[in-house]
Amino acid sequence: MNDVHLLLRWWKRTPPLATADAFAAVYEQTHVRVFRYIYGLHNGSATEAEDLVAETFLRAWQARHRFEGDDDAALGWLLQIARRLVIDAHRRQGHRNHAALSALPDVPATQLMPDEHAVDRDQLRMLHEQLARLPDEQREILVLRYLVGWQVQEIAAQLGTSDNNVSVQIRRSLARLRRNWPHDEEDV
Amino acid sequence: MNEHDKRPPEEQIEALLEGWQPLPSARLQQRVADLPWNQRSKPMKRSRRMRWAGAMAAVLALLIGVTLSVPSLRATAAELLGFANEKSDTTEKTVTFVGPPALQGSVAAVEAQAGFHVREPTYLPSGFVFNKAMYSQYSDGKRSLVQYQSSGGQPAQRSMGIVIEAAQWRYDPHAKQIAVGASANIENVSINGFAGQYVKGMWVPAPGTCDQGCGIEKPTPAPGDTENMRFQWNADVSIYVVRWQEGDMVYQVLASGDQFTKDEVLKIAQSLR
Repeated sequence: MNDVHLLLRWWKRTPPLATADAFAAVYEQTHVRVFRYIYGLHNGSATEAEDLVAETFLRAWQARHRFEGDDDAALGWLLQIARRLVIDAHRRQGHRNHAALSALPDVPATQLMPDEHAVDRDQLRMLHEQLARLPDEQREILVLRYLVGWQVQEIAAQLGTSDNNVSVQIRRSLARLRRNWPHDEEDV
Repeated sequence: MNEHDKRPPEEQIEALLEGWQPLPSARLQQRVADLPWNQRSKPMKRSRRMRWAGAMAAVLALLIGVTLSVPSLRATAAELLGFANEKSDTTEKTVTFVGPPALQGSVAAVEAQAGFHVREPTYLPSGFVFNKAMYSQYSDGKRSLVQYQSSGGQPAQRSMGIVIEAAQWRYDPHAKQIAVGASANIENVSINGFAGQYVKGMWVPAPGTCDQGCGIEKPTPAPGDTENMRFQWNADVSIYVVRWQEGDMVYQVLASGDQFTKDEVLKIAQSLR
């Protein structure tokens, strides 16, 4: 076969995550954001979230030949896998009840906040609890916006909705978080 | 807002969210250490492979040196290395699909795997940036490929690649020439003092062969699959190829896209370092 033609086929058809090196590079670039997404979405402990992160990347590795996008698209693809795993975990463990929230993880402060003096740890704990009480869609949008760090347009593309809807949901979610926030500081 | 209401305003909640940056613990790294993509060769093994590749390259260089020092052998080698016109502009070829490359990553990673220096251009047309480097070991030799891509347009139409191959591939009697169409205009060129050849055009699937889509758009077959396809040489398609040999290395610059010209492709070739 003509070399030129073969090369063009080769370029176009090589799955971008096919090799261990390419996959490892994507892992390095994305695993923190995948962890934050799962941790924000899942009501369990950081340890459980880490297990789900590992499972997400293992599933992605097994399906890597089916992924055709570029590096930017890889994170969205990974988050879709992670989302399914979180839903499965909720179904298995019955995590979507508020009783489970009382057993929220005692995550070391250094894991929760790099600058532990900047933000009160108890407030973060409260935030995690309140986040878990939001409707699924609102919670996911907040997690994508603030924990993953995506812009409104990226969130809309990922969730297949409009920019306007994402913006509205963010405002409503923040208002809802405020309404649900305990009155007394002792509650915190 | 009620002055007795101690709840934080939405701005504070938003700031709290923005400041919340949970990080995975070291346990995650331990958890993924044994997963498949981390089961790569140990450095020692790679270095042994490189020494072996170096020894083989030295033997090959010696053989090539002997070959090139004998005029009759040199003429044969030159014939084997260049483009050659087929008897017509239509041909049937058996296509053997290659598998994914053994390695895809940085130029340095490909270089370590290949055991030879992977040259990169010091000149690139405006808008082109490094996309990826690949390395593959074939039964007829080994090759590296560094791909640069334009940030706009369709990748297949605006991509540029640089192929650097080991010379033993050329000495395989079954892959001795890059055949081009009978009407293809093969031009002799000089790349930094080394004799090379330039051609514009490529084989495209003949009309009626791929009505359902084939060529670069066809769904990926399994590695090792073969199929017979009918091709027609098209000198109007914007594919520009220049190839030449330096020592035991064969270099090829391939550019695809309407914006290229012969001079620009030669300029890229001459800038390889």
